[in-house]
Amino acid sequence: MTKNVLVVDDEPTITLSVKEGLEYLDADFDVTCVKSGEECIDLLKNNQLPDLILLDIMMPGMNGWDVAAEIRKNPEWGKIPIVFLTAKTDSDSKSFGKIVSQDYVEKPFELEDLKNRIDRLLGY
Amino acid sequence: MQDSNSKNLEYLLQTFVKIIGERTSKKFVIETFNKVVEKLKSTYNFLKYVSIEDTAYSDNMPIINVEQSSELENFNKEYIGKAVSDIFYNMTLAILRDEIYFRIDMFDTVDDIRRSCRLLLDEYDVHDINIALGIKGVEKKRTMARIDKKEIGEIKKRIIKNSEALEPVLNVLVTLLKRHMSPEEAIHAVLSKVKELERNYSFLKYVIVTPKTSHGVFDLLQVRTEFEVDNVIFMKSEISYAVEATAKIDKVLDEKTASAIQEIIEECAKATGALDISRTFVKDFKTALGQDAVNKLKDMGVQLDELEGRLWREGYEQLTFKTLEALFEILRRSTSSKFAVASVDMLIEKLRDEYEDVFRYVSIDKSRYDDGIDAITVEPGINNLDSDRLARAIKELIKKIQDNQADLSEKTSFIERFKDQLGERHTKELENLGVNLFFIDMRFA
Repeated sequence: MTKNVLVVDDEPTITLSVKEGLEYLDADFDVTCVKSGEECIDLLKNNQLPDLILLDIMMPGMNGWDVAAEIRKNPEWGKIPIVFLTAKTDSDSKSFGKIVSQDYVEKPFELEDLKNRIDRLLGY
Repeated sequence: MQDSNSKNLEYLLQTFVKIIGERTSKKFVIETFNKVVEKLKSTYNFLKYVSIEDTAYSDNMPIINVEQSSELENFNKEYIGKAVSDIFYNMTLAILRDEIYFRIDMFDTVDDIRRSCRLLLDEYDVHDINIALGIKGVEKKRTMARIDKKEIGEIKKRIIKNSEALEPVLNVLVTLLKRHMSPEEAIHAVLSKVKELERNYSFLKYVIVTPKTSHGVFDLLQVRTEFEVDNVIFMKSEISYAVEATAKIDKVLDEKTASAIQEIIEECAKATGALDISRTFVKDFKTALGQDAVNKLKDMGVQLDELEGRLWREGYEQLTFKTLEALFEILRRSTSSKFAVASVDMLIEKLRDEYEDVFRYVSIDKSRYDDGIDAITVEPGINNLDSDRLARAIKELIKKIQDNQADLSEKTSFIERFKDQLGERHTKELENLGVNLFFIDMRFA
């Protein structure tokens, strides 16, 4: 069964490595990448709803906090699991991010570990 | 009594005008009579035959003329009597609404009228003239007409001048506030509230500060240093000062004064900003003022019990909102305003099943996430909740956020951050409610 994951991060190295890494580790992964919060919301508005969203916090324009809040206020998108991508030193992101998200992953992260977390959240 | 209707009507109305005119003024009685008759003409067409004539000499009362007409003579006496009652009723209303004459004793006025024309009043079936006694717009005065003379006497004894009511109120308010602030601040607080309310009650401009008088009521108030409230300057002195409501206030209607007094008490109750103080303020006020004075205030229309209940209940609503605001602010500072309100929303959602009875009064408008804290509303219904239930719900909410903290040091410092954000006053109120922040904190110690 295909696992649709949306990666939202303004750093192309991150989005690329996540996409290639997850799709390499598990052929069932179908990873879509966008580089801003606004693009993420546009995608959702176009009814392209992923199974899970990997969301960076520090992004120019709409940051990860506002993207998460926007997702949670929409009843159709509200149940999509969110995993925050946080810097190791950002304790607030970890502390408060968990209220709205399902998990957080510290950058830099191991792809295997990321895959396992996603699988767990998606019930595999 | 075989006189014509016109003669009898003339006599009755002349009696009213004479007796009321003696208690008010010629000018007042002419103007009022004309207005009342003009108003009632649409109901009693025959009043077109009635006129009032000013007399040449200022000391004499005006003269009532009722033009003779066959039309008037053909009306039955009950119908004419009804018009007479209505005229008296409306004239009484005008007196009671007048800033100068509203204190005229209408009991004596009616007695005089009855003495002067008892037989005619009976003949024209004017038995409800006493209705006029009950029209001051307040229920207690309405009932006066229906209760017996002895009771009326008792109530009348309790009616006091507005200034006599206001002075001790202001002094007691200062005394109560002095328990929580310096004497200077207390007087400043009371007089500031009075000045603020002047916008709605212009007569409060007559509240001034004068040197202490000899009678004891002013002993409560002492000013020792210099400060200023708008145009009122208090000079440094060893002499005590008193707040004196001047006699001009006595000409203001009871209801207006009562309403002003109630608002001053309410504002002073909130002046300290502490919930526990505002809740017990009215009770303390009543104790300090004394039962007799409290009864007099109640007779004036000051609803102390209603105010006491309202101040008590308002607390939960305010405290719950302040708590949510503090949590929101901590979240907002580390994330974003939108995310903070979404977080509070999600946390409450998680607790909604267990604390439905509490959180039904907290609504968060998802379409207003962008407005931050303004998206959160706490409804007054929460004020009726059991304190223990509210405390439990708030405790769980705080614990949920603390549990979400990433590491132990974040967990242990969270309560301190929360207390700092909430402020000393509301933290104390929260603990008084039963939210023991120390125990919540100790879970990770």
